[in-house]
Amino acid sequence: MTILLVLIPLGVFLLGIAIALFVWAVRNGQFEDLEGEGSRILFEDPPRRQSVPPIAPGEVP
Amino acid sequence: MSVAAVAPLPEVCFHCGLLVPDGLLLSARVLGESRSMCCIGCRAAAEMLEAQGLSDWYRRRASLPGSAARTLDSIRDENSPLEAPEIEASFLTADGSGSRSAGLLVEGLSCAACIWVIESHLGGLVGVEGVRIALPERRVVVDFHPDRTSLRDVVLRLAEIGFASRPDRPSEAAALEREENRTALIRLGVSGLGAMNVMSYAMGLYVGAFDGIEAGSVALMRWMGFLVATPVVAYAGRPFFEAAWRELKVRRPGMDVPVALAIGGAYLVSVYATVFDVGEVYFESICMFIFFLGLGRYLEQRIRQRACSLSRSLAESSPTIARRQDLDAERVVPADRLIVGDRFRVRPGETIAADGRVLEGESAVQEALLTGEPWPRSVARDAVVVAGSVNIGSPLLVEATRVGDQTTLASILRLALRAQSERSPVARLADRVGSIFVVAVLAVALANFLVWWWIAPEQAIWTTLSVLVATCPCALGLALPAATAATTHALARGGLLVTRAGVLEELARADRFVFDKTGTLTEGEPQLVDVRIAGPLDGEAVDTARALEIARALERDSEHPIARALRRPQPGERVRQAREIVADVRAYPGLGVKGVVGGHVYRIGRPEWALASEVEPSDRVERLRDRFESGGTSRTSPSLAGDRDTEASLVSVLLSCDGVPLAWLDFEDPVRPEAAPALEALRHAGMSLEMLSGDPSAGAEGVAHALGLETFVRGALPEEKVDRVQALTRAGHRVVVVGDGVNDGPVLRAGDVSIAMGSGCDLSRLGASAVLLRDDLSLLPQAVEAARKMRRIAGQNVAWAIGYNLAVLPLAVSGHLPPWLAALGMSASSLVVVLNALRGNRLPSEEERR
Repeated sequence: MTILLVLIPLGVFLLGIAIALFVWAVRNGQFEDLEGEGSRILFEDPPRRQSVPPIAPGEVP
Repeated sequence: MSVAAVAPLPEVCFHCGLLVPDGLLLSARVLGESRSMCCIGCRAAAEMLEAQGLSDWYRRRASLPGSAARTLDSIRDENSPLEAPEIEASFLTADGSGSRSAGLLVEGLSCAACIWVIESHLGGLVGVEGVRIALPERRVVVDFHPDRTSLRDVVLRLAEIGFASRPDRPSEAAALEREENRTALIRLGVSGLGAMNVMSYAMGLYVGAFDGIEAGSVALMRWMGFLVATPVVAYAGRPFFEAAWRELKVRRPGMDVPVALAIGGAYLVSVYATVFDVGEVYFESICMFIFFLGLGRYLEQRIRQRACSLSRSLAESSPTIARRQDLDAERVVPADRLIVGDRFRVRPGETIAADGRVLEGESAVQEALLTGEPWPRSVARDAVVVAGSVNIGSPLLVEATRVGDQTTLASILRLALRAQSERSPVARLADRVGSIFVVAVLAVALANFLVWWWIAPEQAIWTTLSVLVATCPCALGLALPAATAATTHALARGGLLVTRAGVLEELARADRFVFDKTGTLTEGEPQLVDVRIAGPLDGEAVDTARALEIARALERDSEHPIARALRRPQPGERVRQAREIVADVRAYPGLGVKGVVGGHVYRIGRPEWALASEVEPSDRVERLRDRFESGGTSRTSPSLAGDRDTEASLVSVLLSCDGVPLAWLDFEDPVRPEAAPALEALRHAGMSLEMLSGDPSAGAEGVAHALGLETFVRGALPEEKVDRVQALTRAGHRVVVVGDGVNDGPVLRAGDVSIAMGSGCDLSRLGASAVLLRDDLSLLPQAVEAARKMRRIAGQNVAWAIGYNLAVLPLAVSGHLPPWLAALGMSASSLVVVLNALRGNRLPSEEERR
């Protein structure tokens, strides 16, 4: 049963990773909107935005 | 109510309700008639529906899409204050990179398709850098580059696709709330994940206890349990300790004290057992308990917060601006910059920014927000106007007499907020019972310890622990929150948002419903119900369509409720483009509108005024009325004519041409279609019903009779309504008040439960303990049923929890219950309670209610 000495600490280590990931996800706003995101797969890809060159200093737009 | 800005009179697309551009001739045959369309897309859609045999949809849809009522022009006007940099800046937050972000509250944001439309449409606007949408809060956050676009452009861009939006001031409270929610979610995650792991070690120990296990392994499991449970207790369990500490500090021990005691005690004993390798460990019970209790509280809190933010956000955010009249010029300033004595102008359609006195101008103001009555009040020089009412006539110059916190509106708001923070009687009772329970448990545990110390000191600590664990009020602590959370959630999905704790308990005990009339039992907006032709025009009789056309042309630019009712297309009617050119349109507040069409002077308004050129107007009016009331000369189609007997709340205006009466137009505020069955269902549920109306007209009586309400009061002042409700409560009734206006605020607070209509004014929702999101009265009987079911479930839960605790207490005291078995029983008991509560997660169906 000495394998337990490896497996259980390993489990605790994985638990730490899981909690870290969860904290990251919450802080990143992944759980803010649980209704809308589910349907996102049905959307078309957004159209390419026309890239407007940034206005250079001194240039009159 | 906000949808009713200046609307066009126009030809609108039959499919989508948008304006048909001038000169565009597109049409499709739908429902056997040719209908105009605003674009090829709509025509294609309409033709497809027709071809598939689905055109019945046009008959079934309740109304045209809301966007039709708003034009881009009106939205441009409304948002013109945003051009002022000072105003715009107050809505923006800056980040480091030079871009700004603004929050917008969007009306009608309801599904994923809206998200897609908004994201792609706003994304196409030059200068927009990012769009984030929170569907539950109906909020859109836009990041944009201030040099390339502006907040106003964003609002207009949204308006283009039919979404009315209002900029929302960045609020620190909201940010704080979000941070709290995130922390709560993390605590929940930590306790959940921790509980699973500790449980797996505990399973090893359980099995090992029967099948044999090496002492080393036992020690390993225990130390690992200690390692994982410690952060769970210290981090996830912290709110319970803090709450218990607060309760002790105010000397009012509630449920959190025994909870904290159980967690803390079990943890300390487990640590002692681990370190000295004696007795049992309870790490898994602690973690599971923290997780379940945290989950219940988190869910309930989230639903309540969402309800509050929905009702609050709109009220707080309306961009209140004032056009201050300075010596040199007119300046647009935020409303809270006004000081007493400032003069400000209010254009038609704008909200009045402060309480004040009219200096110049004659107009009418809509005070529905404050009084609940749909009819505007006319004001002239020296009249008093209050903040929050809308000027619907002509421009006014007002001198501010009370500003900011001093306004009538602000004081109502404060009352509402205070009501919100008070605890319900049931919650207080639960707290008291909890306190007694706690004291009893502690006394029993102490007595047990002393007795065992005397008999057998080495057993004392373990039996005491058994007593503490066995009587741990975990299940009791979960009994009410779990049931409340499940039912609150079910109701929220159905469309009733509960904003306060304790509301469901009160609702379950209620035996009397008190309804407001206008806007609650009725729609709250007058509708055209009849057009009766009064006389010939140019020798030949006018038809109703022609009369309507002239009336609409006259009322085209008015904000009066009657004008709005006129502009709404009648069922089955196709609104034609106004061909009439109306000259010299002039509105006379409180009287009507006059205009010249084709050389004739037309008037629409109060009968005596419309016939003003006549010698004996009032007499004539009486005669005319008599003729039509009795004569039945109505030539309108049956679909336009209602049942005349019940329509005492009728308001009739007269259209006249050069003083000759042309047609009577009858308006009334119709009863909501679902009101009658909903009230019947409530009566069936044993409620007595009552209507309190501020409307003094016989119309109130008509509504009461139509709905079979025997008890009703009409013409009641707000104070009288409060007195009535208080008298009912004193007589031992538990009263639910349903209302919609700010004027209902006081009476809403007087009831044990208050329910506000979702379309009612934002401020009434603030004071209400629940909000009907969809304005559907038929949810009320469902809510009552759900609340009663919840109370049954909570009762079962409490009975179970207390019964279990009492049953095992003798075993624990006598030393026959080892602590590990006590812990197992405690977990099982909690699980039973949670599973039972989940039954409330479904609204009672129609059949069950019968």
